[in-house]
Amino acid sequence: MTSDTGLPLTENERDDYFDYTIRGLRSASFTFNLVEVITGYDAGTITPISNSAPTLSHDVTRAVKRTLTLTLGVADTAKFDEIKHRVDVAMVLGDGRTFPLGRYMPVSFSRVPTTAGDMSSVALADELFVVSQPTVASFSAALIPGNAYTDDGVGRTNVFDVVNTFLDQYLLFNPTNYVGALTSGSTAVTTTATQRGVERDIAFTNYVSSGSWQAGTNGTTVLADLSVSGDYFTPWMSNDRHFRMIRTFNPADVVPTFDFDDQQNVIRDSITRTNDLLDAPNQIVVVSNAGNADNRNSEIVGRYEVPATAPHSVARRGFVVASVQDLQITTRAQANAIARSIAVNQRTTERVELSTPPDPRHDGYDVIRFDGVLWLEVSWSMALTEGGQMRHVLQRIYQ
Amino acid sequence: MADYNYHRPDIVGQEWVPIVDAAYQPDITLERGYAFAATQTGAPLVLNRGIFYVQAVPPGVTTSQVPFVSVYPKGTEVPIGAVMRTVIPCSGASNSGPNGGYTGDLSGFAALQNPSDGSGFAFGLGTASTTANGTLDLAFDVSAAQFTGFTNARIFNVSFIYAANGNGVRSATYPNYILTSIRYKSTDVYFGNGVLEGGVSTRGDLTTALGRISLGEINPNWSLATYQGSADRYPWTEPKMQLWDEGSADPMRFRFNWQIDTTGPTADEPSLMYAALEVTWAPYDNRTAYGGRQMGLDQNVSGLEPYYSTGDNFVILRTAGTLTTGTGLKINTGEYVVTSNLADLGDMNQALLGINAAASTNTRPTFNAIRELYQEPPIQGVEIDRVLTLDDQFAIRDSRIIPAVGISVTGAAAANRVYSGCHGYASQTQGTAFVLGTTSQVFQSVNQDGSLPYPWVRFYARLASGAAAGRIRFADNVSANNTYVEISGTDLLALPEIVDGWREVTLRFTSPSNVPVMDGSTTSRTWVWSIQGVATDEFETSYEILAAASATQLQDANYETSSNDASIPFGRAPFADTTFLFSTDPPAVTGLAVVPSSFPVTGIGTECNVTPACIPSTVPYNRITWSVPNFGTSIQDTFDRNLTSSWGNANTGEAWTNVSGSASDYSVTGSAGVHTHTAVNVGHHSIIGPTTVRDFEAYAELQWPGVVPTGAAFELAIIGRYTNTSNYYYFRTRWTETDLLEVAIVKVVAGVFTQLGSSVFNPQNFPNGGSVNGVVSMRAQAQGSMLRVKVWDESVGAEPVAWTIITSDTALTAGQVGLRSELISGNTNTLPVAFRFPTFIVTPVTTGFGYYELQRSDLDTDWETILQVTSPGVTGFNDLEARITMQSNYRIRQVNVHEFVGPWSATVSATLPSPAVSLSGTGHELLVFTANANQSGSRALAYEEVWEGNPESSFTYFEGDNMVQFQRMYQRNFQVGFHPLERGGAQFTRTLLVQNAAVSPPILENGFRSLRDLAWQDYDYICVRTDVGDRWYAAVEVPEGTIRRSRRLQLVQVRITEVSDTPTIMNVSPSFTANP
Repeated sequence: MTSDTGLPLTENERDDYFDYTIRGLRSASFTFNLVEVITGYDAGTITPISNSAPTLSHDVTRAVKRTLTLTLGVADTAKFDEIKHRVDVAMVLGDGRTFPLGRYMPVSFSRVPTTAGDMSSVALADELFVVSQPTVASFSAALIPGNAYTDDGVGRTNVFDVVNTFLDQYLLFNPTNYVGALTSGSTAVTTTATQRGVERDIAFTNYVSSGSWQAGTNGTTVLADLSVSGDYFTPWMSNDRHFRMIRTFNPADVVPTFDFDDQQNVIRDSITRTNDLLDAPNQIVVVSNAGNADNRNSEIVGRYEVPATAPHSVARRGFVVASVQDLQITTRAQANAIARSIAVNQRTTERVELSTPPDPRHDGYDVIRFDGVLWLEVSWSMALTEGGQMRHVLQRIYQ
Repeated sequence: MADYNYHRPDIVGQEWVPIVDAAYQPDITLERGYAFAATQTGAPLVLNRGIFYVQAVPPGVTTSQVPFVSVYPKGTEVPIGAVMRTVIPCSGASNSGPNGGYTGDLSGFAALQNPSDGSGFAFGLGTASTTANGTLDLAFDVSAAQFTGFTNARIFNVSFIYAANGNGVRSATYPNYILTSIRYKSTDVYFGNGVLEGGVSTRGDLTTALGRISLGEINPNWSLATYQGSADRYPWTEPKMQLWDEGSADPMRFRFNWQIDTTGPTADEPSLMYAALEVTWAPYDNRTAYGGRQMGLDQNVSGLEPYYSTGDNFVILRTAGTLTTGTGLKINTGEYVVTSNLADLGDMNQALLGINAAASTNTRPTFNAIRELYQEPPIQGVEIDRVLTLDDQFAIRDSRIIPAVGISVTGAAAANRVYSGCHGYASQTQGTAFVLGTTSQVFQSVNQDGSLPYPWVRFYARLASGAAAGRIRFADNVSANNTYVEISGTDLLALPEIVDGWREVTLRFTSPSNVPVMDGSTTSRTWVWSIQGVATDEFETSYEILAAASATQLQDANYETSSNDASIPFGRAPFADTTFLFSTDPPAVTGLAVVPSSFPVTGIGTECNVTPACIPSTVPYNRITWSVPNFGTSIQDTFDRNLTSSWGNANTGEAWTNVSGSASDYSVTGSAGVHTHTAVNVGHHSIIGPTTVRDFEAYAELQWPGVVPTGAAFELAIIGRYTNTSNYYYFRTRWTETDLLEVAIVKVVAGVFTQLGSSVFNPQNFPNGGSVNGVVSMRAQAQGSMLRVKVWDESVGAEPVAWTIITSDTALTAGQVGLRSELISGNTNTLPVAFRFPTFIVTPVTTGFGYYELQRSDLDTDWETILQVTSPGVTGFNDLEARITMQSNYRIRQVNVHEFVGPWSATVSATLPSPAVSLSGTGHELLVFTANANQSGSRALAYEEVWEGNPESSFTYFEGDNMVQFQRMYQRNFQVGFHPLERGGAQFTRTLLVQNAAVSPPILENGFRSLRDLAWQDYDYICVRTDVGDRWYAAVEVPEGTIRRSRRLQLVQVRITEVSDTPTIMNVSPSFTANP
């Protein structure tokens, strides 16, 4: 056993395929496997045209985080059923290891007729696209079985349970009979073994919600609202095809996932740094508009002021640039948490873009050390060709 | 305390590094824990409590939380099989009170077995506005035949599922309610949900969809005691589930108790149409023990609720399934995992009786945990993801976050003092060194290997305040010992930061300081961190030393004796240990030698017996070899031969010598070596290997006979340092006539047997340990005077990290290794009795070994590391990247597990000759293609270069490829050139001769295939060498091949692009030395 006393401290084990420039040659490829969505049957592989620069993108600012573009030849176009097929993407390394990159469904399919047959151009998105459709019925957290009442008589339910109950409505997530964590759920949906659902990996939260949403609201809007209420980052479909919701965190306080300073894999001349210090708010104010909040006798307001050490802080700038949010929340602690969450999520103060070789270990909300400080990765875009570039957008927040 | 010094005697001190505090809020979705070793030499350990450590109590009023501690045998944390669900229909219904009755065609429980048959039970409206009520009790047929697979199940959740219709519209004047509860022995434990229970708000129609009231994973009626009588909580178990049966003598029922006022229209009368229990479970509960404890307000309990407190909190552990305590809760020697989490209480304590379990007012405590810098083998953190989907399994993963949780055993000094084998640190703390104070720690070596010098020390430090002035001094506090090291503040800051300012400081004691010597005795020394070189009034500069602490005395928080907690200024942590360790110098590697060698090269088309012209004859490489360290050896025998009256030779060639008994007692069956005993009390010995073996690690599979021992025990053993039958060590296991499995280390000196250490297993948890023809796996190790042994059962789990016995002895220093068996005196089994040994493997000692580091240099290149081999059994390496016709030099050293380096060996040198070229004159220019990644040479290639006309070799350098950017500047003449620090490397194209024979190759394109295949290998690079000493680590492209002269002349064009100037650091497996 060789001691892993290597520096610095990161969550990922070192991997010489990605982390060292000492490796002069690297070989890899990508696989695209078709899956029949209803039965789960493997429908074989497709071989998209590689010189059309297929690209996989992940952007946390979008409701459906991931998109993929492919160009298919005649045989693959004939094979591909855009209604029932999904595409599992994976990166295969020269040493035989395979890294999944998620499952994708077509959202746009353009055929290009030729004398040899149809070719096609396909735009795909991750499976949250299913949730992003308008809901067919209203949804209210207050009506979820197992909710709790306070003295105002309005039912509220833990956001963790609300999210799970909301997802229960989608066939995509069934069978998802949660054990332990979930105390409610419908058994009305009949599922079979082949209709294996997307697994959920949702962090627990204390916060409750009494929110309700009209029919026709996009499901991802519901999830985005619940993310705010529950102090979550917005959800995403991860590389291993799990639905993930993690609690917000301060990137400056965690062990980074990647260390670009140490790994020496940033491509030369690819770095740009920008910031919006001049118009970035230095105080987030969250005001409750819920008439039935717990403490109705006193105003529920949450504030978050960026620390004085931040370059745009009130102390340094000399005046307040506020961002005021009006939300349905019930406690002051929740308001404060949401204010902090908003600061983390939405208020970029410094941003860097850079490129590395494709690295399939990147997923969502990774923390990266670069140039001596910690950054939150807010988007990446990977060329699905070995030798292509993976573009990363990192943001750094002063708190 | 857990073993924080696993690699002694090479390293002594605190190896576990608490780099970041990682306190967390527990929840019901994740179990956090770690593995620990339970050892016993006498009576079995009897579990008492599960202890968890609270850093901060909840800021709000705690309501109905059940912190839960589980203990698993290591490796069985995941339940067997996938998660399943069983729905148990209602099998009994009885109602009382003035109202309520069955509707539809069916009555009784039959009315509640089908939601679609129109039959059900109507909760009748009251006859008076405040008095109307009734009860409905439901039973479920848990013991039904379809539920029998449920025995010993791990139950994750029990839910009441139902269908209802009608309307529960409340009156403006009188509240309605339908309470739901579990009733047992006249006690109701209330469960609520959002549909059937009465609320105080306006409710909508009862739904016709199936609803669920989760009863969670905790059985409120786990004992005959009432729920209110105890704060202890335990999960649902199959025997307790049977109390739901209609015919149960101690019936448990799901009860409705309602009051609905008369003002509502009869049509709105709510009805229950379907009722069933739904159980979510996996086939087997692997937990050894568990326990939970009700914390905070509970609507069902009054006056007894405990609350979290800062520091140690506890649960009472009980045996999984049978829920016993005391002597019934003993655990055996072995490895276990202890975890903590919050249990799922389901819908208990929803808003029924004014208690609000809403999460917003029910914040959780913060549990202590530490993130370790790297994983030490005995302290393996785990996370178990409890969020499951049907047909799924638990997800378990390694974790470097080690929570402060443990178990206590009966007989300990304090009930909440965790067992000595558990992890005992709760949080990170820091010692301070500044002008007014020092941090110190009493240290007592436990190296168990005599007196050894430890010239290296490592600790973790950071600048806490002020400027990085002065020096941190680490010294023995007895000045006469003159033992110290120092690091300046600026040197400290120049080290790479790990996190939070912490830096790893590794220093060597050098003259004029003495080198500390640890002798493993009881003598303690005090080590002090102080600040030097700053004025006495410079208070600002202070440094901190990394340490770990228990906030209160969870355990004797130290890694040596019970009284040597660190002394830290400001009383920051009274029960703390600083993190520091000493290391020996790894021993020098001896016997380094290098021999120029070569792989043969042939042309193509050679089957025609025509020697192709201009083909290099060989691909040269250097073969480097060295000796096994510390007089070790490598032997392997799987007994895959058949012999009588002999054991013959091992797979690796060494001859076995058999001692005692008659020759016919020894045989090999094709799958095992056999000792056949025709008499009791005659030890049989099979000996092998050099007579000089000092340090070794021996693994053996030991197989019991096909009978159970009677009268006295069977004995099987590994032998070490054997010189004759009167002088050797043996590491034995015995299967006794009382069905115990004993393990011991015994020395035999001048014919006197002395037991140095022993341990006892209960064969019930060691299935093959005490069974006919059962196989026990044993690993024995001798390192200096340290002796270790462990046994395990492969049918139960993988090799444990922990040693069963560690002891030391200096009586015997070298000898042979081997195997031993005996029928102990008094044995009465029918003779003969045969013992079998299916496998025997001996290697050098791996504990504490890091790697061999091999370096190379030549006239053009300084020393570069080319090999870091992590197996001590490897004693050779093929360097296929040495420059040809230029002298290469090699040196090697050993590096231990924590990267402390030993001395370099003497340098050896060799010069590779240029390969001969067939049927050609002088003036060759060759290109040789190899990679150290291909040790066998199967991809090694060599070709002669070809020119059209005058020989010319050209190179392209990428520094000239626009890497220099020129800018015109204001106020400045000429241009300014800007270039990056990074170099560009070389690129060149050559034409190579592949085939120049009088015959055509059998397949035209095959001549190019070898080179193309090599170019496409998954290597870090291809090493391209010339016969005059050039070398490039390059990417090779083969863009073009040309065939001329009626297919007899084949030329290939290659483009070589340099991709690195640093060789890959290889690691090779021992098989390369066995078959170089």
